[in-house]
Amino acid sequence: MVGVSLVVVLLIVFLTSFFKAPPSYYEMDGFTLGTYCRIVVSSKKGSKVLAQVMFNELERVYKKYNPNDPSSVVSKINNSNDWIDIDEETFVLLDAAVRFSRLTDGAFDPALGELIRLWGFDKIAEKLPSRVPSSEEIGVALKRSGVDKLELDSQRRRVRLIDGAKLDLGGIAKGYALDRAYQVAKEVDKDCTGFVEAGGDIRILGPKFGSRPWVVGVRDPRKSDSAIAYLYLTSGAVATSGDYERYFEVGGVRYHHILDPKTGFPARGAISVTVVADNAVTADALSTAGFVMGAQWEYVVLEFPKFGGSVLMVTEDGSIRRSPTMVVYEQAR
Amino acid sequence: MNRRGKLLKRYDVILIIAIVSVFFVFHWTRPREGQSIEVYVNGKLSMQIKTPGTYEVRDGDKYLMKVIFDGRRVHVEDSNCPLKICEKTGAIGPGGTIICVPNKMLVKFKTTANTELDVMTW
Repeated sequence: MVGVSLVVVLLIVFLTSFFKAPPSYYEMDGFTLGTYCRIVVSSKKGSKVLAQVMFNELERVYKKYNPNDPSSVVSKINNSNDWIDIDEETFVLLDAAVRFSRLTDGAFDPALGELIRLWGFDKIAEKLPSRVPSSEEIGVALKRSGVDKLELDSQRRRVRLIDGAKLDLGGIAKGYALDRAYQVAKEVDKDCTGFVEAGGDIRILGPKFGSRPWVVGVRDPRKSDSAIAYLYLTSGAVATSGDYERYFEVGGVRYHHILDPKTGFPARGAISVTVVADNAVTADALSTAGFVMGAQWEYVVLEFPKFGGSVLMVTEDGSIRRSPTMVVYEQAR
Repeated sequence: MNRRGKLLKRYDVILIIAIVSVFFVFHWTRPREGQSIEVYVNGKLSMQIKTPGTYEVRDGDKYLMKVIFDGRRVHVEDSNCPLKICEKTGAIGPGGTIICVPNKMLVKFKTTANTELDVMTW
């Protein structure tokens, strides 16, 4: 009889654990950073409160570095011809932007504000651009663009833009905001898990249910409802740059918002570049740089892992190219 | 064979089968929500769509767009926003999302089906 009772008890325990409700994740949707954001988090210290703390941090970073906000730090820098004293956070972010620019031979460039304005991509949420600038206009804007016109003084922690250049941190600020959201979440609860997404860029907080990977689909650049690959992530970040969201067409030619700092025109060669990295700043900056360097896809997929990013690229002919290191993330664990 | 030597008797087996059956019946017959489409504007649930048709989405008196559900997939038409990303997104199926940033509008195709995908990078 003891044996029977034992079997019954073990059976009940097994079945109960099999059908028990999974740990709950709180989900928050919102709009900030000029895009859609989604926070999925589980914390023993209060998932809802933690999600709100993270969202507030995204908002803070957005307001601070939004070039269209007259009160932002970026506007302050852009509207001055002289040195501007900046806080430590801004200095570190600008320094990182300059380093990524050097690392990618200028493919990533945080000082393309004039070019972006000329094309009309700075106000795209209000009005879709419809005109292709002339070569002369682009030539003028190029002379007022480029990271070489951004001077950082580390001794006095200040910054200066020369020759009328303007900052636009669109290629890195979103990643920075995601990393900050990650940091504030971990300060509150180092054991929290989940992820935070902003406009398709994702920062993982920790494994799903504490042990399983989050399944991240890589959007098919020409079929929005489909995925071309699946990534299995328990940590780190992933970012994608593509030509399919912010663009206009003239004469059957697509003009998208990712500009080549060397030509002043939308970059050609890739239609989508996804980068997996340890943090969102790296993923964000390298996905932009990889997109700009799309015509040199061999360099991107082979060299970018040395910079900390594994690449999955869709080239203009629809071919999928990937870093050898990307395979690690494409295997279900 | 001596029946006393057996670990499980006939009624014990019946009892175990009964317990297992109860668990499975409970698991498989509990109510499921099925599929539905939720439309959010400014973070608030604006409408829930369960039957095929064309639905106008408004923010108060302001017209935003039309949401069309054909029973299997959902898409957006005639959006008033300049970007038209919501229209360019095309039709989505269960688990998909359509986003309109200028209008702060979200269309979620909710499903209780066990989809492996957690999030998309784009």
